[in-house]
Amino acid sequence: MYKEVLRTIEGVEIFPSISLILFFAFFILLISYLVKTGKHHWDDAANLPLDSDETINQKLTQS
Amino acid sequence: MAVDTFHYDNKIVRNFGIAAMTFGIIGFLVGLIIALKLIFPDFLGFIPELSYGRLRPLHTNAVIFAFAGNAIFYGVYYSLPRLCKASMWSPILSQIHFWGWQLIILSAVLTLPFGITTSKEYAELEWPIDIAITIIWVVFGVNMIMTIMKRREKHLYVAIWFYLATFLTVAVLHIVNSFEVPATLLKSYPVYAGVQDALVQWWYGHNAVAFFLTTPFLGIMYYFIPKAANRPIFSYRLSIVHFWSLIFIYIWAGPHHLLYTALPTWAQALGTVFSLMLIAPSWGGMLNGLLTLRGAWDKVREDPVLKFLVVGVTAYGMVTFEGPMLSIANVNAIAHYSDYIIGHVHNGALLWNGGLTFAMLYYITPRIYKTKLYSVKLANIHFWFATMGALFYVIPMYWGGITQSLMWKQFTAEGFLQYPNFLETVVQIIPMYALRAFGGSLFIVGALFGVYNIAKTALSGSLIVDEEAQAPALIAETENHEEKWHRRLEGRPLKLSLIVIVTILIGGIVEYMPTALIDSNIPTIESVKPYTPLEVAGRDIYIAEGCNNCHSQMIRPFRSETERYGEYSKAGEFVYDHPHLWGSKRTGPDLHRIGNKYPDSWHLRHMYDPNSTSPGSIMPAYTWLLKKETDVKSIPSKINALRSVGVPYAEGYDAIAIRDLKAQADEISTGLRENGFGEVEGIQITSEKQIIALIAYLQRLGVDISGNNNPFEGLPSDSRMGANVKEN
Repeated sequence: MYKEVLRTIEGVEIFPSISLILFFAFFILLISYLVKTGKHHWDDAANLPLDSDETINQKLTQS
Repeated sequence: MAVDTFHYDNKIVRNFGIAAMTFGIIGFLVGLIIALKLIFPDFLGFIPELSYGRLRPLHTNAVIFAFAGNAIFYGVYYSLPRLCKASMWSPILSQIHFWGWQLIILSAVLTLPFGITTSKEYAELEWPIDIAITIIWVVFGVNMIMTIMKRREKHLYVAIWFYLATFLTVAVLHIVNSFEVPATLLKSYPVYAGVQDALVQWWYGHNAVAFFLTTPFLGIMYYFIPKAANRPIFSYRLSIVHFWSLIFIYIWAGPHHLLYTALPTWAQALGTVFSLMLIAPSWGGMLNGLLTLRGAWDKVREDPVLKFLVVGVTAYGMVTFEGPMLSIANVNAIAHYSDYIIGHVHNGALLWNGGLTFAMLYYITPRIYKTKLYSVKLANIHFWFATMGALFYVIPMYWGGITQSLMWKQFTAEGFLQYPNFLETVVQIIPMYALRAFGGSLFIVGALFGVYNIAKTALSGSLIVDEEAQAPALIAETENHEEKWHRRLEGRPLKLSLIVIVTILIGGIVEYMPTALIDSNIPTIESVKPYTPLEVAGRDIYIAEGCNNCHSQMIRPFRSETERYGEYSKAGEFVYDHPHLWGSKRTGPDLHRIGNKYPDSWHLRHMYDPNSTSPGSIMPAYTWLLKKETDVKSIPSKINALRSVGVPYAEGYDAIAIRDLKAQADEISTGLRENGFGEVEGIQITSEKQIIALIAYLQRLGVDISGNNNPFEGLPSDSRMGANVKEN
């Protein structure tokens, strides 16, 4: 019965495959990009929650 | 450089905190009440509004949407402005959001115990409340997105992505799962039926766990662990991978709630594969949280905030390992429908959601009141009560769940069921139910210590209503033109949101589209007919009483199940089931083939006093079904609503449906009277009583497949050609 459902939906099996490949490509691209940028590239972003008035003042005096 | 001065609204944060604690305690207590009802079925007497089937949805809704929901907003309204270095965009929208959400919770309290429910798990609230939820959710989203647009920090920290994904995905899930046609002011039928309804429901149900109980709490984790440990997250790069892979994969995993059911096997397989893949991002996130504490573990020994965070994240790791394992078909075959799943979800709810919420409360309260925590010692005691409580809850449920499930499947050497009486397997695990209630009580006592501690802390300080903060205005974007793509994306909330939507829609659409077409593709079983008006009324009583909370209507194709219950369930049998009532837990036996199994009088006696037919039963007595009358007036509008969602009632049938209903009810009550059941302990069993409609529905369950049964035979409409059901 289920096979019949599958057969009547033209090319249903390709849907998940396409999206999986798309996501996989995105995933690989993302990882290679992250490796390339290096850890310290993200230091300022990672420190965002820790920003207090003091660190902001420090940044201000530096700029 | 110009420096802006602005304020953080701590009052709204405090309000959400109070709401989370209040509804948390209430939700936990309702949980304890229903846990006690499984040990002492007559606990609190047999009051309709306090019966197990009605209180269980109240418990789940209270804990998910009132406790965890308010906790999410508590965390978002605290961390979002601070990460954006901006006030919340609109204090009025914040207020509308807060009060609107509390009103929705109130409306749940005023409907669920009164039997006003859709029966769809974690989406039980009826259509007017569904609309209210949509409006308030959009208010929250607009306020959040506009705050992000007006921010003074260009980069959106990872926590904010998780908040955005939460808002967007929950909106999509809620709207798609709530397509329903109102029959009356407080009753609706979903447009989906049977298999389709089940798939949409669990696509929603699973992702409610993902995007209501997981992603917002991951955002909270990414903000509060660095704050509490005073060091940045272990790997920001890992958090980027974590985010995208988690939101992409999660949305596909819903069908693992429907393994071995009548759902097409390709959808089941897809659900399993993606569930297994989900371990990677989940554990990536967990390790990212825990490794942030490397070199700071000495702090964990002293700081209750970190303790709750560490145990919470660890529980998250356990649950997200367990989930994929439970998605493997042969593990699922044992664990599904059993108390194992109840243990699994409480591991997550008590320690992950509960742990993170209390960590936030202990972290935020002293800060917004500019004071110190009233008692660190008491917070530590709370921590141990919570942890031990969760262990005493979860382990007995694992033990009991597996024990009972194995008993269901046990055959004798001769090939008969070893425990043919379902009740035997229930009685066996009642000691485990008792231990669970003890564990739950410990958790509640701990939570009360927590509330006391938080209250004392607040009273010892004074609320900084508008906390002043300063930050330079946002730098113009052209200065950063050399940034690479993901970095650039993180400064552009709308593009980020768009990609998030595309990411979550892929899985949703791939799973949903084929099933949307199933309706016209499933070979309908010729002998399966729509319900008669009396059966519709009976089905609505079944839904109102929440029978589906303890009884499934889905027999899996295992010998142990077909031996016990009869022929396994087929997809084509549910085409008129708006909504499906497959259930997810068997505290009592499956009911899909209950029709014609017992005489009407058995059901009457069983509902009035379950122990009279099943000695030792823990099912509550439903005495009121013998006293209350069936709602007949709404039948025409119900028939119309059902016709508009696709049940082939003939045009104009609504006008004569009541006559059919009365004729069928008379037949059942006459039959009962002739067999000596015209009255039960002084209560007259007349045809208007609810019990008659419920019996009609129960006797109809699963019988159509056996042959050419015409449920309308002998009813007044049957004498007029084509008056009741259209021929296909």
